Amino acid sequence: MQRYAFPVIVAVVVAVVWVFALPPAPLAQPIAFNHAKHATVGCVLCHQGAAAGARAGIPQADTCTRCHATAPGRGISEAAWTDITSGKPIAWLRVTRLPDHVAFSHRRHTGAGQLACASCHGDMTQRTAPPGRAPVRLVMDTCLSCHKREGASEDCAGCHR
Amino acid sequence: MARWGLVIDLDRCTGCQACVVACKHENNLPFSTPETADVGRMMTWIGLVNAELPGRPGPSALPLMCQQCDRPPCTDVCPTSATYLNPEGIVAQIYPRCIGCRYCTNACPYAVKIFNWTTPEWPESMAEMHNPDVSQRPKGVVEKCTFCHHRLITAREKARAAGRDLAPEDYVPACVQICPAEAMVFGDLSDPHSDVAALAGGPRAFRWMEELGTQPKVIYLREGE
Ligand code: SF4
Ligand code: SF4
Repeated sequence: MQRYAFPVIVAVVVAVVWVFALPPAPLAQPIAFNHAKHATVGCVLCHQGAAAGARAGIPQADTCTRCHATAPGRGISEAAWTDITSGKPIAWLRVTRLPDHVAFSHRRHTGAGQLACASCHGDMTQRTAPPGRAPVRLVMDTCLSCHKREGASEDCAGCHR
Repeated sequence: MARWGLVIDLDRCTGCQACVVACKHENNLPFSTPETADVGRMMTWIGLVNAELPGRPGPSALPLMCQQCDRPPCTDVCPTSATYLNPEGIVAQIYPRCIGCRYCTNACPYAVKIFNWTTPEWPESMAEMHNPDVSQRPKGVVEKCTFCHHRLITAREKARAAGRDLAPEDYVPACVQICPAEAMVFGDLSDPHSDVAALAGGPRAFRWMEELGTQPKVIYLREGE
């Protein structure tokens, strides 16, 4: 019996670690938004703070109605369209998050740093369905390797608050 | 490279503590209670201490915050480099690196570093009133005044977006901004034309406990004996 103990323990540990290491289930966004179809208008038309603000922002229906007078043919039902255009907020789920101790500003990176949105968010212009999880995994090394390459500040206090 | 410094005129300071309140609000510091004060766990980055100054009959109120020492004893002892002197002379505190060993709180001769003994709490009505540019420090890390470094980052970004250089009035810590007696002046000590450089080199200038060799960048002013 004893000779099985070790392999069994190893198997249990591997199984537990495996389960915890799995990425979380993708989030289901409220609208089947097709980025690829909208790509020609550019990111900033809908994510308005991405160029001029600290936070990029996620659009609400008033942004959609600037172009769409009526419900778009696909991706959203008439009922859901009526809901959001009559003031019900769209409950987008956030997929890209930074910890509270990181002081990130979009303007600093897209403006002064001249970084393309795709560097941190992947190429959204190819996506036909909304992302269920962050398209790019952002860790401190993602930031630092670019800061090193581009000669940007490596002072800890420049990005941590 | 700038070297940020703060001048406090003790002849102007009325001891009103507006700076203490402004700092707490700016930097998301939780309220303290008489009980936390009794055990010496008040959460403030700036406080008024009683100082015996030569030529004065009784003790004077002296606003004391991190002196942003050029030779900081606190950074020498930090095992994780969570606290360090940054290139612009600000002694930074990187919260996610801090392991809460409190070596630095003991090494600081000014006793201005504070430890989060508990998770900070605010009344529910204040949930939306936090400063989004400043983090909320978790239980178990040490924190202190940073000369409102987040304001420098924002000011620099704004100036750059407008295509101009940082102007002296762009970056001022909250305590300096609020002081009704205009007892505080902030600026770049390395700029010979700055107000702080002129005041710091004047005859009324002195540094608190300067005999320790910490070389503070907070400079106090008072009339001589
Ligand atoms: S005053 Fe204390 S906390 Fe501030 S730099 Fe000097 S030793 Fe460090
Ligand atoms: S308490 Fe934090 S900042 Fe202070 S010495 Fe320890 S690790 Fe460094």
